[in-house]
Amino acid sequence: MSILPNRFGAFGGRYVSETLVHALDDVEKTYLLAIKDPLFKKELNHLLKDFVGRPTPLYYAKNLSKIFKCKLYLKREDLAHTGAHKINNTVAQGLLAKRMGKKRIIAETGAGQHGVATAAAAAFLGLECAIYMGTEDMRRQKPNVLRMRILGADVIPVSSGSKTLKDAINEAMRDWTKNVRTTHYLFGSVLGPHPFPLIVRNFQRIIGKEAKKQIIKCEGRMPDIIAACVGGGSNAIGIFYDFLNIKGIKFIGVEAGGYGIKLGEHASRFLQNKKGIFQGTYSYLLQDKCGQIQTTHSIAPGLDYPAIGPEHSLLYENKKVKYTRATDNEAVKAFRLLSSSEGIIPALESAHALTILFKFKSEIKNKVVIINISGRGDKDIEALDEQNR
Amino acid sequence: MKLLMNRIDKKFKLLKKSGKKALIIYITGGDPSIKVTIELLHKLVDAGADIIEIGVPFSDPMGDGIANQKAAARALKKNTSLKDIFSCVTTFRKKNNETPIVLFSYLNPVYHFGYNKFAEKCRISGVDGCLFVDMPYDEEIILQDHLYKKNIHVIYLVAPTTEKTRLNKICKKTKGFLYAVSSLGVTGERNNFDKGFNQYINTVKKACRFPVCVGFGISTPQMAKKAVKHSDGVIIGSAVVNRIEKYLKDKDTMI
Repeated sequence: MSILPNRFGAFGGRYVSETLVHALDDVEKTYLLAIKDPLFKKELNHLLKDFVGRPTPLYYAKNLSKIFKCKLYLKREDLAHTGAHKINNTVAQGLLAKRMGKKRIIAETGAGQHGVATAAAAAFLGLECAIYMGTEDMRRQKPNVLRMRILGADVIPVSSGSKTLKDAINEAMRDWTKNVRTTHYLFGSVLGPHPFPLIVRNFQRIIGKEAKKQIIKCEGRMPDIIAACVGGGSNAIGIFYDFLNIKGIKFIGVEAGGYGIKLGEHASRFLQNKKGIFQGTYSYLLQDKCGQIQTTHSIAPGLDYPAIGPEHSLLYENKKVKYTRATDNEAVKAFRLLSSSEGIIPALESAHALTILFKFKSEIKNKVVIINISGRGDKDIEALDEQNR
Repeated sequence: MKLLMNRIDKKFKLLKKSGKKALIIYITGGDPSIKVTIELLHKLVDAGADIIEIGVPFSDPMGDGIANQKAAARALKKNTSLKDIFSCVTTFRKKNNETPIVLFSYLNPVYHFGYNKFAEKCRISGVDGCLFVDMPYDEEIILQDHLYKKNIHVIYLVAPTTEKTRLNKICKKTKGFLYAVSSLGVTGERNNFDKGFNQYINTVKKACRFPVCVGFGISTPQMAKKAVKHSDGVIIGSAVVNRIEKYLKDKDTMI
């Protein structure tokens, strides 16, 4: 039995094979003990500061602010070690894995950012590491495959199904079911069975905690709008969470709009208005008329997934967060805009969040806006170049 | 209302009387087609299957090994749906009203179908039990209640990692039989069981007042013998599914 509440409203739960229940209990117990242990806090804080490089800056984007007549701040998770917010969670869960006495960690990865961050944590913790990645994602995120290998991880290609993130999770789950006694599955997003949506969110809250202090320092007040992209939703929940109970802030989550609104052409989970049970959790889920999981499309592999984190489903139903979508083309436009106007190359995932600048032009005028740049875009340059040719 | 005796209970009563162990065979519904599945069901009974598990194909079978993954993909290529599975059971029941049928499914197709409607369809078509791979005993109580009301047994799984207090709770809820996962890992053929297999099965046997059957990875007659030594039956899945795949092009030999 889980100790903490395992749902966010109706969403969440723990839908796994019986073999894994014990391991999930163990993760939860270890987490609860660790967060009360001053030694764990000290070690984690040290790693976040000196290994990850936190706090990440909140950067005033002068040129874009001028163009869009607002005060635009960028939370620079792209400057975190390994190039994305994913590392906040992997160092923390890596420490948990050590405490559980596990010798090996495995993870899924879409864009490769979580894979690289996991491989880095495994390297300094001295843990064996295997990363599952869809062959389609390996093709479009080649630099990250190489980085994982250099960091000592075994990158295992997954060629089943749509050859993307969901298939990588299936394979990682199968591995975990077999090797559960020695292995920790280091889940990368606020997805999957309890307690992952909860602990990953708590390890990512640091983004919002820092941003809150930083914006008060810069502006002397709270922001009007906070935006982030939403795949599983870990960077979004990370920056939103500590602002959620403050009145008057508008939260915007941007999903992948792909190239169309038909099923299979996008990864906009709130477009279909269907819920379901998938990969351990109950949430909004893209599926066909028989409850088979729908394949998705996005130019950003990190957003290319049929389900959304269960807590986002609750925030959607409570209308706490407005969820919108950006197409592949809009994301590329934003990607180029930030690169050429501010000298920052964002990940294609993060570029989805930036699209609010031109999509909500009138709403952002004269407002203080924070956009989470969840990762850097070096990984995407090759694929974009290929597309152009 | 007094519920009628479920076919699963009847079957185990008979087996016990004659001192036999249960042979449970798994096949994926709709692999390679619903028509062949119906024929296979009858042939499996003729060949000695005591209970048959029909796998409901799912796009993302996270708890299954490669054999069942491929079988599900073949079935889905033919657009096999829950509706087809129910019609398959209905047709089977016209000629066979004794052999228990258990559906083996992931939750999402069932959730999407509607729990109440699903339970009712199970009853009408002649399904006797359901097993949900991704449903630990403490989730989806509503579904479990719907099935209970229709006298459809929910078959729970226990694994070598299930702790004692949890095992007792699962055993308390069990009806029909308890499915003991032989060793860690997903479904699929293996060379051997985990260390400590005998002790594990004995512990489960002691905790459960219902028959205990062992499944996952039973690939050879030797393994089956070892599995039934301390239990009440075996479930053979991937080994059969692999043979179906082998004879895909030669339907008559397959059947």
